[in-house]
Amino acid sequence: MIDQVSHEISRMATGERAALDRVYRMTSGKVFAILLRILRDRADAEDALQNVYVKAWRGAPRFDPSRSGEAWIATIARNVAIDHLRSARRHVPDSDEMDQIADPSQTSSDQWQMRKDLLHCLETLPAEQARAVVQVYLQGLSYQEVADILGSPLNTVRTWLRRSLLKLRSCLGGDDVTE
Amino acid sequence: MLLSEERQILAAELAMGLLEGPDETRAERLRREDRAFDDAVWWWEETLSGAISQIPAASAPPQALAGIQTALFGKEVKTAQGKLKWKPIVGGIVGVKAVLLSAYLLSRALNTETYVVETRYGEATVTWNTRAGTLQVKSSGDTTLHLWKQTADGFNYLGAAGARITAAIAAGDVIILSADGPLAKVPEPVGRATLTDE
Repeated sequence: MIDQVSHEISRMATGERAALDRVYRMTSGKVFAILLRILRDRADAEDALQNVYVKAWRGAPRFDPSRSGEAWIATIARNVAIDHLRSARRHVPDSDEMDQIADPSQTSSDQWQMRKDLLHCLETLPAEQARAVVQVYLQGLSYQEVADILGSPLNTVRTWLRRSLLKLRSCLGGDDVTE
Repeated sequence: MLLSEERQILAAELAMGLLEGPDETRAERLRREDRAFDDAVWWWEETLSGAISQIPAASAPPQALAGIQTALFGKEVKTAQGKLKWKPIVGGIVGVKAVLLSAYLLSRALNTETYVVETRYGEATVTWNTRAGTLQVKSSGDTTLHLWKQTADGFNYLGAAGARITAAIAAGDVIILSADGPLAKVPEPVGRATLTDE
């Protein structure tokens, strides 16, 4: 079943401008919250907000309406925020990355379960590796930047981060892999 | 769908933003061409975005939507009737109502409808000769603009600025202005006008 946001994104793909208004009204509150969380700066978040919906409008023809429209918009928001961080060559304070993984007390939806699972699976990784995974996602760190922070060789960091991502996917019930 | 371990890692790296340069280009191309790989990237995107989405909404600035619309579609122009919609005007002149009305009547007499569209590349003037069935666009900017007609299932390329374009067009058609030429699958609109024949 296609959710309402996905339906409206499909309408955007046909050039229907009113659909952009509806998508904005349905999602901008959450999108702005994500941008504020990642960027920690209201002015930057306001700039990024415009970019998110410009990208959504332009990307709408490639959107698969069988997928979650909210997740699609949230992904664009995360990517736009990370681009802002990288272009500003700055990183937000790293004291509470884990707090940025949403608080499960806020909801009882399926995504609550997904979030709890994600934290559980992160906890199965060595602490340093779990922290690196979260920093990569929420701060846009590169392999090289993680290596620099940890003082470890680049290839070593690349190898264990890749292994961590595979473990995470397996723990979260993603598809198996072939040889 | 089973993917090799290498592809699974590549999917995770793409979703996490860990790829750069040729590696990122290769992965993006693979995503367009391989449904299983696209599904694997989406799995990460949906999982991770779900994790950061369960936060209380924040109030976006009230003027934000208007800014987005301007960035995408250009500013709308007040017409002789004072309505906020695209209307025929001549020569890109936006001024006093009486001037607009005179220009509009002259334009009608010459069987032309003229639309001024503000784009990020400057002002563009689209002229539709309703009798000859031709379109022409002149841009004040350095970037070559292209005309596309919006259809029910996408966009048809019409031609570039400067050329006199003969096309099957009618009142009600939506004309898109884009910097994207005929090789683009989907043009990025920088302005648009709805043809009217009043």
